[in-house]
Amino acid sequence: MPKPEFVYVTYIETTPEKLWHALTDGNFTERYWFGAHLRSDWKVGSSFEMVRGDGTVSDAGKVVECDPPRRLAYTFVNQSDRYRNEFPALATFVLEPYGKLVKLTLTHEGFAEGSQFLEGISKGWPAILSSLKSILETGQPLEIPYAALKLDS
Amino acid sequence: MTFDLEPRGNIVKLTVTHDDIDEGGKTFLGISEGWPMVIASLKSILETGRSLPSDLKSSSQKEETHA
Repeated sequence: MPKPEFVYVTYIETTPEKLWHALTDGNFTERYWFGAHLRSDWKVGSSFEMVRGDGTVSDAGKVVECDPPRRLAYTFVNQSDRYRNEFPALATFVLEPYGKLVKLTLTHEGFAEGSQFLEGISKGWPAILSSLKSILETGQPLEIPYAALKLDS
Repeated sequence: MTFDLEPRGNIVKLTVTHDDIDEGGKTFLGISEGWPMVIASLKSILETGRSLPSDLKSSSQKEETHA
């Protein structure tokens, strides 16, 4: 049985500094992350939140690791009734420069067997990280309709 | 292996499934490094007209020396 985790690797024509900014600046994340404004002071142990346009918090957790522009790790779980009782699993971003490219590896792990949230993030991350690559390379995010994630199926 | 293309407005969702290979075997490790590069470059060339720079190759070689 495969481990209950999600791994995503992509390559982006950018610099580690720009990619770090894109992953940690709330005003920037709003543009490609389904409108989510990431809110944290990025100190280890500090709170980490995804804030919707109306000011409500959709997801919450804590910063576990922050080593700019190389490694960023935080826990979070969605605050809706469907997921909020799940253990907040750990998302780790590793940024490795190769010439004009940065290899970005996201590992999201620590889910319980049968986690519904793992199913949800497995649909969400490819859309978010694909849009992140587009905005850094073209200046424009992807406009992926939220419904296209088919979170309910 | 299977390529599945699903249109979503101005976007296409591409799902690549490569199965029937031994997990942890040489082929599995190789394609796990290879596909993300190829697919990332495919996305770039379709969206920007340019493939990713050949620095990708040095990335692959570097990892082989680590392996």
